[in-house]
Amino acid sequence: MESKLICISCPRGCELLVQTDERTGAFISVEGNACIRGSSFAEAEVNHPERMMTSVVSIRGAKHCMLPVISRRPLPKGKLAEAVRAMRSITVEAPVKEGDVIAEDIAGTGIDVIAARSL
Amino acid sequence: MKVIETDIAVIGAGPAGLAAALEASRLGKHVTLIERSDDLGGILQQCIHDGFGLVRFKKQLSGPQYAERFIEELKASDVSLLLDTTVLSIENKVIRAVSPREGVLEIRPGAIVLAMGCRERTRSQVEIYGTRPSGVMTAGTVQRYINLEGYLPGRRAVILGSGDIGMIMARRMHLEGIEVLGVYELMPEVGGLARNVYQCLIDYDIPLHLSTTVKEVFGNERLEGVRVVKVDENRRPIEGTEEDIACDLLVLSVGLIPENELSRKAGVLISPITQGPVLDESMMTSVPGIFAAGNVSIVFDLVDYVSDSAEAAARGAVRYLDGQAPSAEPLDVIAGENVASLLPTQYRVDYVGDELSFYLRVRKMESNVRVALRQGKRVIKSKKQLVVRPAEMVTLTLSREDLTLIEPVTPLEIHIET
Repeated sequence: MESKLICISCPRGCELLVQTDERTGAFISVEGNACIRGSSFAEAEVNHPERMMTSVVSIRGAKHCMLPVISRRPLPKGKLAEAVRAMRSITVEAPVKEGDVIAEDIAGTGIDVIAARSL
Repeated sequence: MKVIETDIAVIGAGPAGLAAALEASRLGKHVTLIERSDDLGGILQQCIHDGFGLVRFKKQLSGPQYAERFIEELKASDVSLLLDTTVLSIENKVIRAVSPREGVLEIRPGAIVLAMGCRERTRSQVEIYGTRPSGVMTAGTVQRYINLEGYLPGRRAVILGSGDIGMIMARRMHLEGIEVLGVYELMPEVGGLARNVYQCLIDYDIPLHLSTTVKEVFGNERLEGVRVVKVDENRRPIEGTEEDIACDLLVLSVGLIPENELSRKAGVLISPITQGPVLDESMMTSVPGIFAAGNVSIVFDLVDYVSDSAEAAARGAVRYLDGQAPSAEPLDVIAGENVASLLPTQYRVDYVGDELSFYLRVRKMESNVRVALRQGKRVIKSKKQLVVRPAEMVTLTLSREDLTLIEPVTPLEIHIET
């Protein structure tokens, strides 16, 4: 089966034409990518789509009341909404350094969420 | 009144100001960095999504992470910081500023780098009829409410304009539980990057309506709804296609304009092409010793290029202070076929920097083109490009050798050639 995707690896946004197995839906091949990142994106997007999670958590004792956070690696796409929801109940105390772990093993993915800035 | 003497004053500590201050400091100058808020990093601190820094750091960082790299370096440098300090005017290269702690300040630099960034267009800059309720705001304001202040500014949102910030906020609002009813775009094509249509709209089934605009808003105290209408190829509303949508939030993502109130006060010429200052190859304005960096000069689409342009401006300012600024009569660089906006718009042949990047935006989408810098009939430099789109900035970088081909005679022209 043929489907169209847009690569999100960089701002160029290559339009990818992906061939997948009619029966299993598994990735077969890709055209339209300008670089190697496009082919790994296409394969991941078909077999196990992933997205980075970015959100904010509450922080006490800092000049702002919210601290930006980011997942250390991309999460399975289906876990994204749950992970963002989980951020809402977290409150940390200042000071926080960029890179500090804010939440471990988010939404059962085994992936940690870290502070995106120092506050 | 306190008077501060410094080599280079940088106005604004967003991505452009941070990069300019650091580059000038690395080159041995004393730098005073002036920032209106009490935070460094500018708009990056509320751009919590990832996708920054791919060109410079070969990584997809979030906005705060990108800023942090510069802030860490700044803390280790000897750049003097004036936070919470608002510049009121620049006259004869003397800066008047005010802060709650110091009162009125006078800063007397040898050179100035303007790095005030850009501002969002607001409701008053697009034609929307109706009442003036609360709940109509720019995408950047929504972003500030949600990401910096932890506050959801509505429950049911309509977005006007498909710029990148609008699409990114569509996703952000959706993930925070605001119902996003749709993105409406006046033009027949999307305003932002294709990847944002994919990862911000398609991922969450948020509908995108092209050639459709918001015509009118309803509600007295609070927004109660909007009237959308389809438009023809001349952007005129098509009668009978109106539809009313109940919502309490209208998010505007309808373009950015370089912020040059201070530049005008300083007497620098503003380019009708970029809406930023007229700049030469060293990012110097029409007032000798005043330079511009980042989105104050032209609206870039990647922060990486903002940082690059700021470092170029800092190098220009350092050469100026050292008495090595190019002094030849500038040649005009003309925006030719399918070029809507261009930087720089002047070039001096005695420029001594290494390489030089031209940044431009096109008027309309075209495929299989050449981006060509010409002088008369001669091609100075050209490159092939598969596709050019209004949403995506095009760069053409000339090496030192390419630059020696430019002669001090006729203007330069940049064209998109099919």
